Amino acid sequence: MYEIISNMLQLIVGAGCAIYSGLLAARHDNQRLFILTCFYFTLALGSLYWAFYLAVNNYSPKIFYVSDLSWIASCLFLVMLCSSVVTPEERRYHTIVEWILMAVLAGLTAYMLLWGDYLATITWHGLLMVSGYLSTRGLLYLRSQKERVPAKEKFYLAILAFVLIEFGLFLSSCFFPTGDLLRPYLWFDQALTASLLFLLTTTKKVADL
Amino acid sequence: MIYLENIFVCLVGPLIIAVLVTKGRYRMMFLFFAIGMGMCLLAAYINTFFAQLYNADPLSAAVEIAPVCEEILKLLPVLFLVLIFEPNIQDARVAIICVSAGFATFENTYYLIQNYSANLSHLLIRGFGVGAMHIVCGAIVGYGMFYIWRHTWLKLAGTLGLLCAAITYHAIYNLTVSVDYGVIQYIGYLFPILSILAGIPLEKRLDRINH
Repeated sequence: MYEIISNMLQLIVGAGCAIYSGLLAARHDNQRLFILTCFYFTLALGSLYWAFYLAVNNYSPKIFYVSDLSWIASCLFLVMLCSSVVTPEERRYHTIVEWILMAVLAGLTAYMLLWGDYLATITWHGLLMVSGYLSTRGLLYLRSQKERVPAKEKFYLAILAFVLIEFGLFLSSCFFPTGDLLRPYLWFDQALTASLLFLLTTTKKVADL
Repeated sequence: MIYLENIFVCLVGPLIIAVLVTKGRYRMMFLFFAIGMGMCLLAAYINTFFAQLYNADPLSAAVEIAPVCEEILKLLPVLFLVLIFEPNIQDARVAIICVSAGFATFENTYYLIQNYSANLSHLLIRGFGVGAMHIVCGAIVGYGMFYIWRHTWLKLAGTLGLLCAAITYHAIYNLTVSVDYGVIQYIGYLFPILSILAGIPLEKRLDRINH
């Protein structure tokens, strides 16, 4: 019951963000906002399919998770969004921190292969790892500069938060399968919904409107 | 037994003649309409193959197999056109819409042969619903593709992402119309029609941007 409410809330927030960013993208002819719209659109579409499938069938899909395809597409658009703001200087900047993060996330991905479908897990988590890498590198680069760019820092922070919450969501679903209000899965789900709003506000600022 | 390929030959014949006697954009329209019908025929074979392979029940086949096969097959001729002939955006959009309309027409023909054609109100809603759904799915990939393709590095990733979105949209439609409850079924048919109505102002806006 709580999970359905949480999913519906995420669906409403995702769809609302998609409409709002879509209107902004159309008004300003801004490609970054268009990619953000695609991100929200695919995320909401996946949630809609999943909620509707469970409501109609009461069991998980037998052959193929179509919603996974949509969520993987949303991660693809997240990588594209992240790449669209990277500067050549950022590209050349490397520290050990982003590689440590990548190693940790790769370990978690390997662990999650025990639970899920290999191809979907590797693709989905691989894209999240790329987003995590790009955002950490960008964040560290911006922090190392004398002249601060708070808007872009917040944008990278929003992406990183989304990635870490997604990993937390997957892990909590592995360890805490029973459903009640105290289940960490629901907290992560709510945090993910909040991160969607945070991403919208931060992307608006880096989209050169 | 329904001989789908015979029906295809019968329906596509006039279109081939039209392709031969017309020129320019009209020829392209008839050609891509016929290709859309051909893709629908091919999708029927491929869907059946995968349904047999995975031993799928009708709902799983309609919701989990058909959207993936159909959307990929609809995209292929358009990708071929765009990558080989590099047409202008307007021509490519016409091609996308024609492939989708041809696909929907042949799907409806198959539906009419399989089911009764007496209930006009249901067929009216279904006809518009299927047509709108295929065109919306085509438009998601086609229109989005041209917007994203302005940067080379976005081409592959963007097209894949949009294809996934179209597949999910198609799956949602198939799921709603497969449900036995009448109201949900009609919501399913109305969903793409409303999407088209909402998309018309957006299309005008994208047109202005591309010009």
